[in-house]
Amino acid sequence: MRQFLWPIQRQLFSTARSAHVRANKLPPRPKINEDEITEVFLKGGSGPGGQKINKTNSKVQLKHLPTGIVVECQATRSREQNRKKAREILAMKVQHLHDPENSRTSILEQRRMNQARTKQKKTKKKHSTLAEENAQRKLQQEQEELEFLASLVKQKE
Amino acid sequence: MPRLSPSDVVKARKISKLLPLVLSHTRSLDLASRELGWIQLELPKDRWLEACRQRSRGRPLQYILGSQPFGELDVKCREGVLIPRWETEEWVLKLCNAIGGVDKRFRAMDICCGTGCIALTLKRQLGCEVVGVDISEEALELSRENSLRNGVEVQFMRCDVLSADAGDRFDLIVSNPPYISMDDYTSSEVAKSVKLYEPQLALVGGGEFYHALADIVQRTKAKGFVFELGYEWQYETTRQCLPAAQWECSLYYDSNGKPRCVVGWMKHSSLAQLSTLC
Ligand SMILES: C[S@@+](CC[C@H](N)C(=O)[O-])C[C@H]1O[C@@H](n2cnc3c(N)ncnc32)[C@H](O)[C@@H]1O
Repeated sequence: MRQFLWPIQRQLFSTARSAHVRANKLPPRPKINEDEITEVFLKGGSGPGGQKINKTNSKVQLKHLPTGIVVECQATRSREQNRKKAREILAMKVQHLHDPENSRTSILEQRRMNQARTKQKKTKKKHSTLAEENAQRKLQQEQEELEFLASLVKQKE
Repeated sequence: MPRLSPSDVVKARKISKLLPLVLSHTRSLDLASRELGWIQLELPKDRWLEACRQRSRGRPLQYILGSQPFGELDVKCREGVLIPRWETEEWVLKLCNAIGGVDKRFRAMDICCGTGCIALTLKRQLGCEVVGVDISEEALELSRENSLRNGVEVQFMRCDVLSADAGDRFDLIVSNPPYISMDDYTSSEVAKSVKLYEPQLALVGGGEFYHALADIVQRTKAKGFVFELGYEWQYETTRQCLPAAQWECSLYYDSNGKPRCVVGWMKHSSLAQLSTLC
């Protein structure tokens, strides 16, 4: 029930304060320990490679040695960016495995559900404040993060 | 190239009208979907159809989108200049990690710089002075544009490596010279779209380049070098050009297990750590 109240609180109290509350609730993006992973760049096939062919090859695969979790990322054209993304996803998965209730993934998912419900309840308001827009944007970012995660899981299946 | 499966074409059509066009070149539904995604992300909607048509004819994605990521850089690409390869990106980043902190007076030269991708990465990662040279005015022009685009300052100059009389001193020489033999270039060893769309000047070459590069290493009093290669004999050629009493050479393999570079360092010099690359 408390969860339902906070969007209303956001309207009543100062925006700085509610932003603070929200920031506290969401655990920070977890980090992965480089010593605990192996990284493989997925191959460009059996051909000669180099100047003879021009193949996009930005796929990165990480394995988390203590848990055996494997993730792959080839979402962007940049291998360097995929390396970063793969680490973010792996870290979230490891955190989720260790503490499913309080992981960033679960809390993001819960927020998304709450948001959907309150959206239904809320009557349409004409003028939204800047703070609300910001909060909205942040929520959207979090949602994108979740969707991105989901899409990666799907890709693997 | 794998065959195009009819069931994939049907699947592709259901997803998007544009997808079969991309699929007809990539042959893999998975890759086609990703490529279409990037086209839709990076180009305005009114150019999607034309982009997919070009892709179906084999025009490289990087020429269609106008860029290729390379390490931390966003490298502008256009016809007339070779598209940077992932193998090159890989060894260049490893090289930067291997030599790590160098002092301000360290000087590196990138010969056959093309888009400038190697020279600009060295500058960005190492912060040392870098000079890039190429014989092609189109390549030099693009290198300068890439320098501006990425906010990385490198001097680019015209020079024919085969008739160079470099007198300056450099610590490190790197190069990705044209290395494909004419025999392979005219056979099916080289992908059709490479021959059709990328400049032959950037692709066809052989022993003469490795002779010339080894010569430049000695004349500039460099302490180390990395040259990309396409065949193991190019490693032998380079090694034989340098006095074995002072120089150590080693063959570097890319992550696909192919011989990809000849790496050399002067014994007991500050660049002896290049051995960690191989
Ligand atoms: C394989 S491309 C490498 C481009 C870039 N360094 C890269 O890795 O993507 C080779 C380059 O060598 C240049 N080149 C060919 N013959 C040359 C010569 N005699 N002297 C200097 N550069 C030459 C071409 O113009 C082309 O840009």
